[in-house]
Amino acid sequence: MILINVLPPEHRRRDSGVSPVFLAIAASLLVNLVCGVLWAYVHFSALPTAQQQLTDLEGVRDRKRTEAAAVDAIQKQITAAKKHKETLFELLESKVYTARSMYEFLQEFNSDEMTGQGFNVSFSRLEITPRAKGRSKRGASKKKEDRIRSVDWKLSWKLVGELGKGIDRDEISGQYIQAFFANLKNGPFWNNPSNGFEGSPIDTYVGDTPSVNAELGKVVISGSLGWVRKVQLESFAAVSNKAAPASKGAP
Amino acid sequence: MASPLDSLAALSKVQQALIIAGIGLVSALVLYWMASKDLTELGEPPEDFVTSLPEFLIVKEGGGLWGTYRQVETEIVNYNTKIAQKDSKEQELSILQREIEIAKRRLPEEKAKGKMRALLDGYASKVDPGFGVIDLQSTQISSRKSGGSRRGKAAKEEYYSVEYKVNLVGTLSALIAYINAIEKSEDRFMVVERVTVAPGNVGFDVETNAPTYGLHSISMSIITYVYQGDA
Repeated sequence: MILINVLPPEHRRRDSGVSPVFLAIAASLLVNLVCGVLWAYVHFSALPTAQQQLTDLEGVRDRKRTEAAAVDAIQKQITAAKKHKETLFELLESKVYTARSMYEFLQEFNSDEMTGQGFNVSFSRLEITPRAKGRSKRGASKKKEDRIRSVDWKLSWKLVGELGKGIDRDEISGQYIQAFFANLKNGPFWNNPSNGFEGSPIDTYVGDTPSVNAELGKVVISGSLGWVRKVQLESFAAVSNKAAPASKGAP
Repeated sequence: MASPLDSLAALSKVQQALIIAGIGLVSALVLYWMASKDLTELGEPPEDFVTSLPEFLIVKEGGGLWGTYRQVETEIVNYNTKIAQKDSKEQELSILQREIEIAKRRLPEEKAKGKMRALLDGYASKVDPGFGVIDLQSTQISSRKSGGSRRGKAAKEEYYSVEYKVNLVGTLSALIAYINAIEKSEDRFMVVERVTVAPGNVGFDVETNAPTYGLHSISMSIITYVYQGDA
């Protein structure tokens, strides 16, 4: 069916209004305007602003980096100083005290226990020598071992004892030797922990050769011994604060 | 040949509208692509940052300028943490340097060898006569550039040991007093490393019924360490 509008044009009902071309142009312009404004805002405002803020912050970062580098330099100095201190303290803590041990050793030889049993003992040669450090172990054991120094004491001794008439030389010599080592073992010199002697003083005794001085009525026995001191090293603070001798002649 | 506009005019209104809308859409897509490229370059701003962009336009992947901004902020926080330790580090260094200085004062310098020799003489002459006699007969100085028994490269470079070999004659009590003075010296750090005591002439006192001894010969080696570094 075909509908024919026979009304003159001025009386015909008008089309719905807006031209589709106009609508298309308007919509396109609107969408392009929105996208264009968005792009322009981001491109010409947000990006440069962010870039500027980043540049400013990088400036702050560079200043902080310089300051932090100064702290790093201090840290390096601390590390070097710690190493230096460790080296220095290791040197200063390597001291093994000898005077007190020698003093106690002499006291022992001149003690009443020694001299009151009919004989005198003296040493004719004494050599005190630090033992070279052995191969180091690892870990805690190594650290503990590093704090211990071994010192060799080698001595030649001479015992002069009374030899009464009719007394057998060998028998009395044996008694003197026994008494000598027993006194030594029980005396303060051997038992002072700071002297660090281990075992028994007789451990390295390998015999002797007694001889008789008939004119003086004495038996003379000589021999040699080797002892080892194992000394725990003191900290530098302890070394620095070591007390002065308490009494005359006592180191 | 007809121009594009003539061709467009020849089309119906609807067709014209469709073409214009298509061109507009393509143009808008190009603008949006350019904007999203810039948004990607911008990235996600830090949380505490006020931005005029709506949430849906923020590109959260890829970092962008704001991502770099956050990284720089993190770097600054790390630097600030380090900088905050400056005072305590300076204090720690100062304490260490003081400790080293105090310890170093106990060690002689290279040029002080002569003074050390005089010091050893002085200790011998200051031994209380009550202990007997002691006479320092000779002193030999030898340096061990290898750093002695100390371990580590640094130790070898910074310090070397100096050995003073001393020969004396005297009584044992005086010798012990002498060694004690050296070991407890507050002037310089010294270690009595080796001691050899050899007897003097042995005699016998008939009256006291006891052996008598002449002065002992004593040789000793005394070690100290000389600093040669800069630290």
